[in-house]
Amino acid sequence: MTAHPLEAVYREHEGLLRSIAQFRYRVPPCDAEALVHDIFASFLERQPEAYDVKAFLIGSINNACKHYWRKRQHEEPLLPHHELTPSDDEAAKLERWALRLSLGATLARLGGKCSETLRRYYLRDESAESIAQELDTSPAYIWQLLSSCRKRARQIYSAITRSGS
Amino acid sequence: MSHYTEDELSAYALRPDAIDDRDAVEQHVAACGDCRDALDVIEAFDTALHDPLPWEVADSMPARREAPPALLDQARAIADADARARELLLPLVDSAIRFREARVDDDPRFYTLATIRLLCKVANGMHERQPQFGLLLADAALSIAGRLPAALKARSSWYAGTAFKERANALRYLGRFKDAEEALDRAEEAFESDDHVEPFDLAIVQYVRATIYSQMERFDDVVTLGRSAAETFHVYGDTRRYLSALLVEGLGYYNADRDRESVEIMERVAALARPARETDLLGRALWNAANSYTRLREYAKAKVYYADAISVIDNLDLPTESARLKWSMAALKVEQGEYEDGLLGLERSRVQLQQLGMANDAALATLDLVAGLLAAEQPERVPELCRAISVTFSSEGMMRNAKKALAYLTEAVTSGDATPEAVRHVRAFLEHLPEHPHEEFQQIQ
Repeated sequence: MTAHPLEAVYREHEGLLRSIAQFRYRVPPCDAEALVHDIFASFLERQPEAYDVKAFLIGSINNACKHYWRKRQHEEPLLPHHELTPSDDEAAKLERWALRLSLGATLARLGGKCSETLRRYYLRDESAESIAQELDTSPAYIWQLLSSCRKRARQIYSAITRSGS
Repeated sequence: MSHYTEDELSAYALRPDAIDDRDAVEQHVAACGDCRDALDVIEAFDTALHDPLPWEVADSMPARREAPPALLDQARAIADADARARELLLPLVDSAIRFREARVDDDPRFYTLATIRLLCKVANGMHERQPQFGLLLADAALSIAGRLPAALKARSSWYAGTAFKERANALRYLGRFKDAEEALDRAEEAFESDDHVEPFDLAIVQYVRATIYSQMERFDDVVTLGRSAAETFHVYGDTRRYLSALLVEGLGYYNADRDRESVEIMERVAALARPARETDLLGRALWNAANSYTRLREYAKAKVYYADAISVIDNLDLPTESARLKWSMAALKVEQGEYEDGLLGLERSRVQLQQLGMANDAALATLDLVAGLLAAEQPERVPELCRAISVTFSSEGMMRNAKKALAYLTEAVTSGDATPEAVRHVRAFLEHLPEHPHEEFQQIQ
């Protein structure tokens, strides 16, 4: 059986869409998964003429998440970013979110050693010296690793944001 | 000036103290915009790595997932249904007569969602060339939507909405604006009644509605709808539709004589369309900005925009648009008193418009030339030019009114009483006649 174009689109974007639902809109993981499934099902059926598939799917998941919380507004208070009316300001906010999530996707693709070193240095604020000590290596090696891993991360990030993948 | 490489700037961003020629790097970056920009990107990336959220996201997506089998089954079922619909429909849609004779809405083989989807797609591509056929296709889609088996009918709201939208599009091209408006109301109702309401669909309805209201001269509504549609398209990352909706909003302002607001939008569209390589939208935005600046009497800016628009439109190989633009530019020069260049440009434009078969535009350009010649006190060719003017309108009433206006002009020219103002008065009447077909010509007081 030949591969359906959906397979590639799903593999590329499912993680990002699920992250938007879970992290931007705080939709519980299992519901987030269902929303993403519905987005793809609707995309398949309606075949919209989307010039940028990734952006279209992001717009669609944002709308689905808002709808999700509107239906549950008696259970959970609506937050400011659940507002109904789109605006340029909201588009800018969404763009910032999309960039943070794209960075998340970058880090997920980066691989163990690079990801771990960057995490310790940037997120946990550990020094290159202390990382080197713990890994029983030289600080120079850690600086070298940081340098090459940042470059690799920038390349992945650039590919993700430029190609819409 | 030689630049630092990305690796060198990255090393500086990571550990400035460890750079041998730190001062040199800092001095260079302070003076070099390109290197400053590159360093900004690197530093912004490093800063973003301090944010816990991307790490949280990374941890939640350890590996890319494959599409679940149920979704793939659905994808294949839709693909099969589409193939079947194409097989049945495509042989019929190359001719309106064949399509009508096939009576697809009486044949249960066509009662599928895929058929409606395909009919709407074909209709969408048909409106501009054959709006009557586009309407036939959209109405067939609607008729099928009403005859679907119960299980499919329950899922058909979005399909009905799309078919109503295509009906509205066809009616818009046919000039049946009231009917188009009604179809859009139905489209909106159908989209809103679906389980999965997508604001993108509603924004397309708003956009079409804005174009219809523009024809109906409801310019405040055009502005509101154009803006709202643009905002939604922006959220969905659809640059082309976003810019198109902004253009409609800007045209709403222009037609309401609010040139300041219009020009602001047109300049914004031009600034966004250029890097996005939306060349046709860029050309239209530049042209509209030039028109507004002309009306604002900011001629220097208008000239720059016309020149830019001409170079963009010429590259698109759109001879009729190019001819109209050059005509506008020539008229602007005459308006500014640059008679030699302007009159020559108008002469060329009227001939070019005539050669392109745009008789009414050629007549208006001739009237611009006549007004210019009178203003430049060169009336010798005026009688000959006026005799050559001929216009064509679709209705008897409009032709009668046009002839009355032209007779008034001929009389004024013959008696030597013609003035630039009188010529412009006739020109304005003829230009607006299609939108006000019942208006009687009134002589200038």
